[in-house]
Amino acid sequence: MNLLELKNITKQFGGLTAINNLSFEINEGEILGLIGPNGAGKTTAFNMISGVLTPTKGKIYFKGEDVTKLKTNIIAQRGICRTFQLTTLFKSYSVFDNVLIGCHLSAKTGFWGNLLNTSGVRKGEGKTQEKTEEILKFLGIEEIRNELAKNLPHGYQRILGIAIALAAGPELLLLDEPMTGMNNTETNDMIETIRKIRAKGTTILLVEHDMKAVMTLSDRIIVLNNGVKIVEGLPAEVKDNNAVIEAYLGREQDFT
Amino acid sequence: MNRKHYTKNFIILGTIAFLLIIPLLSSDPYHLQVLMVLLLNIILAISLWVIMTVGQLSLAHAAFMAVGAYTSALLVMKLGLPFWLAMPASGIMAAILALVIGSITLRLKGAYFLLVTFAFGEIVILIFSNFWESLFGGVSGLIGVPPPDPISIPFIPQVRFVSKVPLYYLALSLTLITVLTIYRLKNSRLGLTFGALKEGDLLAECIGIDIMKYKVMAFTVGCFFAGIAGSLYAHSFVVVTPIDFSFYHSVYILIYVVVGGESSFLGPILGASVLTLFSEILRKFGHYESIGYGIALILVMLFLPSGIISLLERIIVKVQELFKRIKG
Ligand SMILES: Nc1ncnc2c1ncn2[C@@H]1O[C@H](COP(=O)(O)OP(=O)(O)OP(=O)(O)O)[C@@H](O)[C@H]1O
Ligand SMILES: [Mg+2]
Repeated sequence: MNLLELKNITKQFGGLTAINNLSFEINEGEILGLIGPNGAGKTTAFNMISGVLTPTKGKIYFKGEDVTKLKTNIIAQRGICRTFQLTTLFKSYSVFDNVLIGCHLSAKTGFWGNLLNTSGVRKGEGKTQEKTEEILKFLGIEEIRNELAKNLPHGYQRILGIAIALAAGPELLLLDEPMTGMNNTETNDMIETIRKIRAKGTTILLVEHDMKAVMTLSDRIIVLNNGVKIVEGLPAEVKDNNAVIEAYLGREQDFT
Repeated sequence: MNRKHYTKNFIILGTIAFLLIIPLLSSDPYHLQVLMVLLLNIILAISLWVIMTVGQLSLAHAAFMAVGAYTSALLVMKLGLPFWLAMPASGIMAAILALVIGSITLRLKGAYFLLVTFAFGEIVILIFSNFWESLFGGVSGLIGVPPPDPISIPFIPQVRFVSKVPLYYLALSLTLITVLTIYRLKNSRLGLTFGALKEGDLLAECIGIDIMKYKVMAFTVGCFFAGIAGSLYAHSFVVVTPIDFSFYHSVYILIYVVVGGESSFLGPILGASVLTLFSEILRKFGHYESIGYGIALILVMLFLPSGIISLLERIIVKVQELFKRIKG
């Protein structure tokens, strides 16, 4: 069964067509890779799926529901969460608090309950704290819980970005270049982490320039170029496709 | 960590105790008058701070105070309501207005929202000075606002608000209630959510936070207490004129928060206290008051960019080190 479906999506910025008549589906439980050269429109696609931008044309369906025009926070409520290409965190909060804020959707957020600190609210907050602990442990960052997000090394910041998104409890997780700026060991750890997230039943849409990582992780891959889908297929098929090689030609990509 | 908390709690409890016994130390009505202004400024600064925790700046805080002051005074003077009903009603009136204005304008960020609140504040003052003069009293405002009605509290004689002393205790009680309420809010999940909005709107939205809802909530809570401050002001100082609530006053409230230290709960309280006393001292020097004030502000911002509170925190640490050395 498909979890997400994009139908004839077009996005224009003034005269520029960033996405042109793009359609694809994501099946429940899979890791779908979305690749393409710089400026291909990958992040723009993310922005539309997560409700940050509205498509100029076309529809987006999540579990059969038309979510094209829903606001970002409602889309998160429905079960789609994302990370950002440029690391985006609650910078002056601790790692623990970042993830705790991420638990917003499962927290008790009523005004009077919080003001009076009712037993219901205290119980709810206890649960979100437990959930936060679980996520920190799951991603192996429990020992840096008290560090401020802004003081973390880049690799940990990328992981924290994912931790915040996971705290919202998504069914579909969109990862925008999670391996950016990571060394070999960190990249391999991230590959393991993404596998673990999927193993827990979360469907993943992965944008990544590190070809080795995309090829090992993805069940299927979609290649974008200039806003158009040029190829869709299994990693092995995409790797040897002439159109793909051409799109990347001259771009010094490590295409192995 | 724990030691620091002890010292902090000690300072806070000491301050409250001191404030409680002040009327016993000095019967000079001038002293009590200054302290009442100080307490009002604390309510205003800490309530503006709530709005600032979601990353918005408002220049309409004095205008919301005006709404509270006029609401309360008119309810008592025209409808004969007791002060004890008019006061909460004035807070609710300011809150309702904030809810409406906030729902429309809090989409705007940074300078845009600041300018909208500036314009709103000016409109409010304009209405009070030029419209429905028979009701609002024009530029000369409302004169002869009665003091709060007498109240009976078990075990002590009936409290009549005829001198400054009971008015001072009323101001102190309302200040403590305001500060405690906001402290609770800040330490709840809502406080965390408010802070998240300031740090990153987009990320907050992407994890399911309805950012408008929480911005409006913070704005409404902040303005509620501004309205309460207005009511307290009207019934303590007898006269309410539109000019008391001009945008200059809003700027001063903003200065209390920033100079005191925006990033800490105690910052706005400290800022309002220090600057109120400071400007009282400078008042003796006539024209030089605003010059001295301006220079002091520039110096604080240059040398204590996180506010006076950071100086206090440094002093606490130094004192603790000293104690340790004496013991060891
Ligand atoms: N908000 C915007 N306004 C105007 N143009 C935009 C906007 N967002 C993206 N674009 C343009 O749309 C095109 C696609 O950009 P996008 O960021 O989606 O590419 P990408 O595939 O994510 O690239 P990269 O690999 O570099 O991250 C680019 O030409 C970009 O300049
Ligand atoms: Mg991108």
